[in-house]
Amino acid sequence: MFAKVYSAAVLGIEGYLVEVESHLDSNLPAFATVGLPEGAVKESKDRVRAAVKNSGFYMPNKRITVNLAPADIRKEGAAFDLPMAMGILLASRQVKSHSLEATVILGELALDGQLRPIRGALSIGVAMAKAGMKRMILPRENAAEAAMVTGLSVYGAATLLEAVDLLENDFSATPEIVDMAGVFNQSSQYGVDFMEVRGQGHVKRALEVAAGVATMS
Amino acid sequence: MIGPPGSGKTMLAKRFSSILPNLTLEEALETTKIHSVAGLLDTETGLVGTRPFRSPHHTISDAGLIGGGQVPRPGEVSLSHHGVLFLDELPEFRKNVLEVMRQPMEDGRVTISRAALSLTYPAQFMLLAAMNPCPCGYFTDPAHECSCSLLQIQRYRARISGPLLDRIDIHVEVPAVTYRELSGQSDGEYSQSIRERVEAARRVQTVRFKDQPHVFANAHMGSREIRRHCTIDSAGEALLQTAITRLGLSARAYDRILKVARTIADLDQCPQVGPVQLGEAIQYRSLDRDVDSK
Repeated sequence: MFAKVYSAAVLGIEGYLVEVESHLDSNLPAFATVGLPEGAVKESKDRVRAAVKNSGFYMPNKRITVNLAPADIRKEGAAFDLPMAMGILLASRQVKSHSLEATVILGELALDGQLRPIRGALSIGVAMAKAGMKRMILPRENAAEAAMVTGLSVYGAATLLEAVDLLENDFSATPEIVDMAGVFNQSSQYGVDFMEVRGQGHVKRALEVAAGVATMS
Repeated sequence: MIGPPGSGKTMLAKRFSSILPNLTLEEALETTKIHSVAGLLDTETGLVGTRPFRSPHHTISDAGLIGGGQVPRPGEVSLSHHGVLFLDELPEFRKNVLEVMRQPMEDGRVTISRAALSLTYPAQFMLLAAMNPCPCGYFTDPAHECSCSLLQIQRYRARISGPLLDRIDIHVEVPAVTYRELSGQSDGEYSQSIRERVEAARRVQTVRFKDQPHVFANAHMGSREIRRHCTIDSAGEALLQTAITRLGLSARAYDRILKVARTIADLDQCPQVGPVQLGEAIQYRSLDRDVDSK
C-alpha cells in the first residue's frame, strides 16, 4: 500500500519540491523516515502518530516507511508533518482523494492535530507555481503570505481534519484571496516621522544626502 | 553619526528608512522571502511593505550578523536587505564582527559555507552607525567636561578600521540639543517631503547612468565615472585643494567628497557641482581629520 503527496522545503531563500512517499508493509510495526531527515524531521513521526490518533483516525499497525525525495538533500524543519500524516492516511485508505496531483501540502502538526505555522511559505509558493503546481494546503497563519503568488490556489487549514476535508471534497472551498495592492499600501506606512525630531537640522540633511547616494539597488 | 549621549542619534536612525524611496513590490517580496525563511514575518499582513530597520546589539557574533548555523540561516545583514542596518555604539562591536561585514557591503550578497552546504543570501543594505566621540561621550559637548586622555580617544576611534571607515560615505557630528530647540515649536520637515526630494534625486541619477549597465546610482560610480560626471570649476578646485591639505584628508576621501557633492547637487536639482555642494560634502568627512586638529 503506497501513497505519494507533494510537499516542499527551502534552501536559502528558494523553495524546492519534495515528494513524500509513504509505504505500508505487513511486517513488524515500525516507523522509518528516510531521505536525509535532520533534527525536527526525525522527530516528525512522534508528532504524526499523536496527531493522527487525536484527530479520530488510527495509526496502521504495519511497517511504515516514509521517503523524502530527492533523497540526497538534507531536510530540515517541521513542515513535513502534515504531508507525512496525509500520506499515511491515504496509504491506509482512511482518506480518499482524486486531487493529489499538482497539490502541495505543508504544515507542522501539534499533538492534538492543530496546525502550526511554517517558515518560508512565500519562497515555496513562488517555486511551486514555477514547478507547475496548482494548489497548496498550508497552515492558516501562512495562507495570506503564500496567496500573494499568482497562479496558485492557496488553502489555509487550522487542523489535520480541515486539511483532510479539503482533499476529500476535491477543494470545493474557496481559496485564500489577497488584495495585493491593498496589503502593500497598508503595510508601507512608517510609524515614525522626521517631524518628531527637534533641532539637528544638519544631521537630517546629512541623512537626506545619504539616502540620495543610494548604496542599494 | 558621532555625538554625545542623548543627542538623538538613535531617534534619527530609526526614522531614516522613512525618507528612503518606497519599496517596489518586487523588492518587498524579496525582503518578505528572507523574513519568512527566518520566521520573523508578521502573519497578519504576510508582507514586509516598509524598508526594514535592524539594530542588532553590539554583543552580536559574526554568525549572527552575516548568517550562520548548521544549515545557514539569514543574519542581520540579510534581514536588512533593501533597508537599513543600524549599528549603535559602533566601536563596541567586536573587531572580527565588523570586518566580516565588508564582503556583503561590497557585493550586496553574502555567501555562507558550512560543512552541510553553502548558501547565498541577498544583503543589500544601507549601513548607519552611531558612536560617541570618546569613551566618556562628552568630548565634543560644550556643557560637559571630557574625562578622557588623548590616547584613550585615539584608541577608541582606532577600533573602527580604515577599510571599514572607507566604506562609510558620510560622517556627521550630532551635537547635544539645546533647551531652546527642545522647548520650541518643531520646525522640522515631514519625512514625506524629504522623501520626495530623495526620489527626485534618484530619478536624475537613473537618467544619468541609463547607458551604463553596472552603475545605477552615484554610490556605484568608479573613478572613471567620477571624472566624467563630477567636473568642478576652478573655485571648487581651489576649495577642495585647501580642504585636503588643511584638514589632512586622505586620497580616498577625495573620491567620496566628489560623489557626495554630486548627490547634493542632484538633491538641489543643480546640473553642475559648485563650491557650495563641495563645501557641504567636505564637512561630512569629520572622522578623517585628526583628533588633535579639532
